[in-house]
Amino acid sequence: MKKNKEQLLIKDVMNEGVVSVHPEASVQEAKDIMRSRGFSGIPVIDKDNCLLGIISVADIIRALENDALEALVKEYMTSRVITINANASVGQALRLFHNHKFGRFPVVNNEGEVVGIVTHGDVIGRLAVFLGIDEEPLDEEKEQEPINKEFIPQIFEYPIRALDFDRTGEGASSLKKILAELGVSRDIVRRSAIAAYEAEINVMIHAREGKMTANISPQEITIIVEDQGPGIDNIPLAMRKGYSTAADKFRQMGFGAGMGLPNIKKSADKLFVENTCKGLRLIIKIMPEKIA
Amino acid sequence: MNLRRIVGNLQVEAVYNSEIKDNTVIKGCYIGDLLSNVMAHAKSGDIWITVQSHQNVVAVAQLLNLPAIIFVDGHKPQQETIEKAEQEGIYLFATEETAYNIAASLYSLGVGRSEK
Ligand SMILES: Nc1ncnc2c1ncn2[C@@H]1O[C@H](COP(=O)(O)OP(=O)(O)O)[C@@H](O)[C@H]1O
Ligand SMILES: [Mg+2]
Repeated sequence: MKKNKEQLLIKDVMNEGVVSVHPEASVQEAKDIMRSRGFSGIPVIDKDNCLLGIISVADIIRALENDALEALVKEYMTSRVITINANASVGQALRLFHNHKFGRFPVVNNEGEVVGIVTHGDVIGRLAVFLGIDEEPLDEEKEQEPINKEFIPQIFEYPIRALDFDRTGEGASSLKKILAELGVSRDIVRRSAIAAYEAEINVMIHAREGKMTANISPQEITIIVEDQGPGIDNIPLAMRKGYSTAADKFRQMGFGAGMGLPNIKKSADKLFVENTCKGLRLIIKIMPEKIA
Repeated sequence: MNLRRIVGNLQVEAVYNSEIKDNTVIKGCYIGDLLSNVMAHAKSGDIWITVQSHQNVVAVAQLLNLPAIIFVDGHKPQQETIEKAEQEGIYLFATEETAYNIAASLYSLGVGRSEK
């Protein structure tokens, strides 16, 4: 049964089996219960199921300091206890946690009997489940990327052919896969992928054909993209964000935003753009060791 | 958030049939049709909303680790796009809805908002 947020009540999120301690028990006993159950506080309840107080780690420490583990729980407990009604909303509980610095509140029914206990973690945890935000994010850090700092330098070559328009991007794709397999860090893989992709697309839409070569070593990835095209007359102008001479048919496909060279520049630690006798050459250097 | 859970709550249809893997987690969303903008701004784990339907979108998704693409406004991916996506394991969805409506639904599901 699905409930509205408004209807999520304390009785839905509380822990029902209450572990409590008798007021006449010794502090030592309370301490042992807390240790064995891993609780940092337990309610003190008498035989009439009447809530008298709560004994927490802080109270136990006070007893320890006084060398008074044999003393009675009722002498060391905190008797001013704030409780919450089982029919209160989780919102009210959150406010209570916020206003008081207690980690847990005993939950009472309308008769004042203790029916459960609720901790801050219970509320947040159940709320997360309720809202569906409890799944572990695929945290990149947590996923522990196996960074490999020692591999044999490799050379990767990929021809970029004018007729393979549909396959453009595959050079960058293959390079990405190789880098990932070598154990290069995610950030470096991403930056290399972006730079290689944009350079590859540029060859396809502005030149005719070309070649991508990547020299991959643990210290440096150098991607060289050379083409047989018209080259660039005004390189500083071409480097500007938004500058593009791409044909309409390419723009309709989402190319030609004039962001390719700027993206390459941003991804690279070093970028050289030069005209050759045949066309254009880009030399893109990305250095894993360099801290940006 | 798990992709399966997301698509169960969205007005989208799977473009090709395939069981969504358990560990397919969506961390955020990026909307864009200019591929260079997508390259620059979409983050690993984002679901991508676009109207571009040619197969180059699969390359972009693969390069950036975007687990899924949603084609909006009734755009349908081309056959080669579908084949390439299947090969690369990128999930494709299509909808008549606008990018705005899909993004709004994603937002209210909590996509991209859980950390903090
Ligand atoms: N390989 C190339 N050969 C010739 N001209 C190029 C090449 N790469 C880029 N250019 C020129 O530089 C401009 C800017 O490139 P870029 O920033 O990638 O934007 P876009 O490719 O979107 O037009 C291009 O429009 C084109 O005029
Ligand atoms: Mg470009």
